[in-house]
Amino acid sequence: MLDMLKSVFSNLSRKPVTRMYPFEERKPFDINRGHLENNIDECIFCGMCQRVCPSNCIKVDRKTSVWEYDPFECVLCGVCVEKCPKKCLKLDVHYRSCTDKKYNIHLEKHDDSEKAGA
Amino acid sequence: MIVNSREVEIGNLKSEVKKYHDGGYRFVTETCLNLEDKFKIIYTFAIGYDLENIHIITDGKNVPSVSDIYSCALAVENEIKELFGIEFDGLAVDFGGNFMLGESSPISPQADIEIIRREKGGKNE
Amino acid sequence: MSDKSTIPFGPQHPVLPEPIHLKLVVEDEKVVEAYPAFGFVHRGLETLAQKKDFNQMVYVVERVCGICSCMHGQDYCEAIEELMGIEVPVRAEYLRTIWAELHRIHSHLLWLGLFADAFGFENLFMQTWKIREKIMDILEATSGNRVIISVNIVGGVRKDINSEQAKWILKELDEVERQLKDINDVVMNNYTVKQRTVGIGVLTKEEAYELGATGPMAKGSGVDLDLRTTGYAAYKYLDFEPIVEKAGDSYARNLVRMREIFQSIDLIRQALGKIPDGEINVPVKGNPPAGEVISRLEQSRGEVVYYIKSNGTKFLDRLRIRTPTFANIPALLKILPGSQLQDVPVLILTIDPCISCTER
Repeated sequence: MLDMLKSVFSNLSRKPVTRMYPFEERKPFDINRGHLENNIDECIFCGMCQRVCPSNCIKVDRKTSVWEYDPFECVLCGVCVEKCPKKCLKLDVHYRSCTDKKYNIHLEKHDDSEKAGA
Repeated sequence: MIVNSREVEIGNLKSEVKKYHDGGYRFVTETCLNLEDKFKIIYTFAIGYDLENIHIITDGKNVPSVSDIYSCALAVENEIKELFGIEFDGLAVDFGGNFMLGESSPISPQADIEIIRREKGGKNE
Repeated sequence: MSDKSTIPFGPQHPVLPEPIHLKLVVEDEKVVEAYPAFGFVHRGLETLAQKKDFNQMVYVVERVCGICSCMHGQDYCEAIEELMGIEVPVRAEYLRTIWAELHRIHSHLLWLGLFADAFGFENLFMQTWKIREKIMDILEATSGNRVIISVNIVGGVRKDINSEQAKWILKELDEVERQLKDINDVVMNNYTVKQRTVGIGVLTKEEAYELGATGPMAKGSGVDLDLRTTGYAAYKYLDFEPIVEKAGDSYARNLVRMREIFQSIDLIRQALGKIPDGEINVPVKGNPPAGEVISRLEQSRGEVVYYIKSNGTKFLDRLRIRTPTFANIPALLKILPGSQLQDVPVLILTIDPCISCTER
């Protein structure tokens, strides 16, 4: 009947296992797959990320230099990051904050920056 | 394990399955495949850790159910019936199309060809 | 007293983590018949295999089930590798084993918590989930995600465990084992647990074999079947004995799962001790050749069967997944009639149901 007593006493003398979340956050691990970011200035719009994505959440338009990403369809597998030839995609360790509205990430490379790069 | 399955005539299916049952085999699963305008059903049995497969080719009508030999086959046969629309003869328990699908679901969603239409409100108790 | 009444159980019910509907025909308090209905979370993932590249499907099959996701990916990859004749590096085999065993521990702890919750033992529920959190941290630190870790790819694994992490894992596992031993006494000897599990839902050895039960459901009834002994992945290098209990009731299945947690900790220690250096994956070129393959492995809930038919293109012709819960449903329908209504939650949870596995 009293099997639980041992853990009851050890828990009484210990500080809580849980954290007061919004005020105290755990430091994310280094390889945490938080959210996807694209450094658009280095992107060459090859479309590799679009081809390997298992959830079809990335759309690349080479002609208009547009990189579009739906964070709500993304499953954060990170396969696009591995296959990116320019290594301009990266997974940040922090999660996106929650929201009540869906949105798309729309990134465009402007002509002037392209010229400046070339 | 690369599959090596033996084709069995539909008429001999039950006696073949009975042989496996009496030989102490465990029923693993049935797998239904779309062929051109037919279906292939693979029956998988296991003894110890070894698998054995037999298969039948059918047009989807009057397939004898093996659920009276292996009663556990009724779950997978009901699933195949709903997802592929194959008619089984002598199902031990027929869920009447309410095992995997709901009343407003598409009919036989995994099949390339349509065999049966489900009657509306055909709800089995 | 032959007034029969029908009670709907689920799809939403306080003890059910996932939606399953049961129509229970009861006579007073005694269940005489039970009819299940599934399909609330059917997603058609088998059909999706015909529209996705076989490399992309790894991430899809991981999402068949959240709890044994790593092992789904592993089984799928092993099937494709067998079809293409790919030899996986030994280090990748060890890593797959380590992650699979971590998944087994966290699955069993999750189940134990839910099971305790089903008969109202809230304290045990919280203690087990507290321990489970350490395992989740290990998974997150080594793979980058807590549950769906996406480490398996065709040809090996994507992430590596370095020696520092290995040391940290061993330290955490010691702590987990110490805390588990306290819980172990409760699960094995507590009056409340015994009252609610001993002699409830008895499945004899013959019935378990006949109904095709797998995993702890079969092992608890004395059926000595554990696919890990066939030596897939790195199990051929490790030393272990399948755990079998004879009684066949809910308590015996408890014991199987509890002892399997300790066995898994031991297997991870062995694997981390023996793991060789080397590559973690090999490049995969081309498409799988036309052919049919069946691959099986032992998940936390039992034997999972992957049937794959490929036609030589990058899309698969047919993918069929026979999950362990699907095989255990007939056993559940066998033990439900004749039980008391108050035991129904215990009986449903004793098979460790994973409904999204069952429906795919």
